[in-house]
Amino acid sequence: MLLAEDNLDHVVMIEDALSKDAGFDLTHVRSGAEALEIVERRPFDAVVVDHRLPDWGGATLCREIRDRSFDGALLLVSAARSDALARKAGEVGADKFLVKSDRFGQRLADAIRDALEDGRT
Amino acid sequence: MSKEALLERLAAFGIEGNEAQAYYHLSRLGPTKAGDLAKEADLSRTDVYRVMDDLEENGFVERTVDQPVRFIPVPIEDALARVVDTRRRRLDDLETERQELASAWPRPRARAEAGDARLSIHRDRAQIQGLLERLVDDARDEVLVICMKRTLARFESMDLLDALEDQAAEDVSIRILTEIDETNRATADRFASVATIRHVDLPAYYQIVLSDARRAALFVAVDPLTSTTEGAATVLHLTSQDFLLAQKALFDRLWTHGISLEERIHELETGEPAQRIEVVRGRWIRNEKMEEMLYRGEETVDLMLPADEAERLGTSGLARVLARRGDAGVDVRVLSEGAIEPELEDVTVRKGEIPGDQTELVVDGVERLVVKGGADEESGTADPGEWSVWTTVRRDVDRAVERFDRAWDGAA
Repeated sequence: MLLAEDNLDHVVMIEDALSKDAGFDLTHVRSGAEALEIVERRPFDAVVVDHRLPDWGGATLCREIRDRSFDGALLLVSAARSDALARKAGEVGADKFLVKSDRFGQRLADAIRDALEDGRT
Repeated sequence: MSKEALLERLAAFGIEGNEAQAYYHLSRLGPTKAGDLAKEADLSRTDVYRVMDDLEENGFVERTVDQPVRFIPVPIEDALARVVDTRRRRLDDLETERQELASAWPRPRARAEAGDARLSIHRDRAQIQGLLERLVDDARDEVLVICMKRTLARFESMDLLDALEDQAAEDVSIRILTEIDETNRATADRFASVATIRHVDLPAYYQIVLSDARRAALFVAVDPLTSTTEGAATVLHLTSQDFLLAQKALFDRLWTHGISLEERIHELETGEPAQRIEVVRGRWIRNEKMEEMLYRGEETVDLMLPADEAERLGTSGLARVLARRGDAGVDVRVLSEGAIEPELEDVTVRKGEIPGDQTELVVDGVERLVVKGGADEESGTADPGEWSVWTTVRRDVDRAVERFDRAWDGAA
């Protein structure tokens, strides 16, 4: 799994949440440019994108990732509780939009699992 | 302030000309169609679409999905905060570059000092204490503090409580936002004698002291992966007006989400959440909020669904979460006016009439979300016009539970 997230507190939180589930092998990058570069070189089952990266908006990055023929699970996450952003996530090909709020780690792990399962069926 | 003066100041954030005009009028009008905005801002429709693309890219505008498209102004404090944030990141990079370049650059034996009055870095405890004392002492109107829970005790050991006490005696308003739990409750109590304190769950490392929105001490964790010790703080002293106004706006926003010290102590002593009310705008975000509530649920989940919502349940993703909570041992009851597809495992479903004819969710008998208005049955899982109310007000939640129980028994 690839995580594009520049806030290291959130990286730690996500790593903690996913480490409880065996089988998640996490690669972390801090910018959109790094994410695109690595998605082109390596296969991933799932990509989690933070909305506010230093160089890219998360929604735009999701679209770019899908444009590179990525067909795995794609999730957009944000600290902002924005209805417009949630809708935009669907438009740009994200499987799920999640707000970084209560029980975020557990919800993210479940959402990734659901998206992977949907991809297989 | 005149419109011209406002637009001139907005130019400092990179928004000028037609963009500034359009954003100004859109902010006055609220969600607006392109044609109406074109008339109001005296622009052609083509110009409006082009300008809205740019404003959206820069975080000043959002748009609806439904046709005809309406443009929604992002509140200016949010949009400006994003601009400031982006520029701050660039400034951080520049500062790193400055240090590397300066250390490598050839220099004569006696080096001239080139100080920067707008930004200074304070590292050791004495420096930080001196800066904080000066900030508090210089305040004439207000001191605003956001800090993590252990920092309050550090502030006390730095004699900051005394400095705040002196200022409170001079009618300076002092507000503190922090995380309060059993470990710092006594310290918070002592600060409450000179300041108004609210509890807030801080989503990440963020500590700042603002003095009259003229000067700020911003605590920086250089890298939380490597510097987790409390003593490793670095503090930036900043006087940039744009930055300070953005931080003040952020403080005010967080303040409205905070709960009073008394409410927080009640929460800690009884385990009951404080009585809170929040308006949830848009259907996507309402579904998000419902998922968050369901994950919090440990004992009971009561959900009432009108027929159209029952139909949408599967596509919204809520069906999965309901089944997951049922599987985790939570008693999940769904009272629905319509058939639910696919069938929910580990969930008890009854078909029957629901009071109020609106989606309503009560979790553990302590929090309730009810859809209030704007819902458009035709618009699927996305309805930006819909709005709901989430609350933990005890009487309101108790009544909702009673209503649910009656309707549930009636459907048996």
